[in-house]
Amino acid sequence: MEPFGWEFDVHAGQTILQAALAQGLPWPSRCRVGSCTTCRCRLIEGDVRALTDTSYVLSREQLEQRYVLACQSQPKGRVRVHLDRMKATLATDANGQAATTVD
Amino acid sequence: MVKYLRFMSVYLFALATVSGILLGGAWMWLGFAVIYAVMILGDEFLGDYFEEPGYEHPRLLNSLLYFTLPTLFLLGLAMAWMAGSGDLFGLGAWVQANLGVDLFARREATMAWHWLGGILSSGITFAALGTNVGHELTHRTTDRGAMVTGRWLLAVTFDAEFSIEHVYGHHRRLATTADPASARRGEHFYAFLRRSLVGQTRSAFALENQRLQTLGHGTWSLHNRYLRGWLMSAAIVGAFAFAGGASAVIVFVLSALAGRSVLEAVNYFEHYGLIREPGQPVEPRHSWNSNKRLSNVVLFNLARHSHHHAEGDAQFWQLRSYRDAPTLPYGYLTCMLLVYLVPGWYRNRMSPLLLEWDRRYASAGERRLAEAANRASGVPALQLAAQGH
Repeated sequence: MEPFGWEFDVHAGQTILQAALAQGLPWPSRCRVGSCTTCRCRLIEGDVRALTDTSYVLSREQLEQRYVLACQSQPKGRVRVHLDRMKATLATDANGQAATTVD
Repeated sequence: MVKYLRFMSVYLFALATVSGILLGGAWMWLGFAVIYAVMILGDEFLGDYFEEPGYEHPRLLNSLLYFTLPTLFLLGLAMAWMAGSGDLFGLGAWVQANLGVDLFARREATMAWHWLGGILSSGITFAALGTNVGHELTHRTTDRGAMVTGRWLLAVTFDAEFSIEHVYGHHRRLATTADPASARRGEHFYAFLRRSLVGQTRSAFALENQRLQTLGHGTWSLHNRYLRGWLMSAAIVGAFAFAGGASAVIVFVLSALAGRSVLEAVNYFEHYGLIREPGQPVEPRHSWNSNKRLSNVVLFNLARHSHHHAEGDAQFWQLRSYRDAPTLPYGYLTCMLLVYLVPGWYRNRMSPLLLEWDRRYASAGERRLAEAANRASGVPALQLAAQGH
């Protein structure tokens, strides 16, 4: 599995994580309810609708760097996000960039 | 049509509570008696429902949630009227003219001890309409209207902070020893009640404080949702004081506490003894599920708890049955009554189910944790099983 340059569609009402997992991508995730922050990624382009208040779980630095939680983010249009690492079982410290495309 | 209308049934129970309180005297027990009797017998004889129908008009279902607020207002009015004096909002005159019932005489004939029924009826109604629907609504963290309504519904039982702790605490720490709202193996309901009340309020305060720090606000500001929640509850107490004086406040506070204890009883049996390795995903096996027809229809599918925790943002009408998930032995009100009255018996009743959970559902890591938990549980059946290993 190539960790970089993933590109996929997110259907209306779907979160980035749901779409990624539906593609079989090894996106790291645990709780899937916006608490554990395992699935966090950094917004590079575009914007998302956040389903929960991320200020409860992300630090100020992370918020300033535009980190979002993939499991709680529905893209508004086309977005590009940066994922710090893949699912721990596959790779621990790979730096990758994932692009998500939305219709 | 029936598939929509059935979710209105909780309002019939609220009607029983409101009319019982206004009729006064022994009638004050009406809501309590009707709710427990119908729910326990109904779950026993109407059995399970596994249907997962599609709904073409989810907005209809959604609007059903919002009628809880005016209904609870009506209940509050009835309580304050009966506990106070005078004719608040002209309710007495209106009922006499339109329904021919003399509320003044009813109030006169109501003794202090009749209020035990009134408080238990109001408590369970607060929980069913307030806490339960407040829970559903405050999961919709991006919907402002839902959040405000939900937090007011929760504030009725002094628990607006639930909107913080539940979503950002309980769902995250579920079935681990770090979660105040997950009952441990061998834990007695009344021990859990104390730990859960203290632990949840501490956790809510800490979570809110952390959020305020992140955003650069101070603890003592109006940005503080924890403090604002308590102000909302204080406002409700103030309204009762204004409407019916000290006796109305006493009746309300006791009802609110009764309602809050219902939430804790439900918290107790929804996850009793279940175990998850911290950091591992929340799965359907980490909740006790129930597909009892009446429990689900009356409580907006709350009993389909396995799906709720596995997918926290699903709306109540989307919850699936997960019939293979670990299943409660009885419906919600039956479990609740047992937990209240015979907590030790309920704990023993769950032991074989927990041992089956260890065999059938637990991951290898969970099985190791479960064995240690069984050994430390103080419950003979669980300890015996742990020795067998």
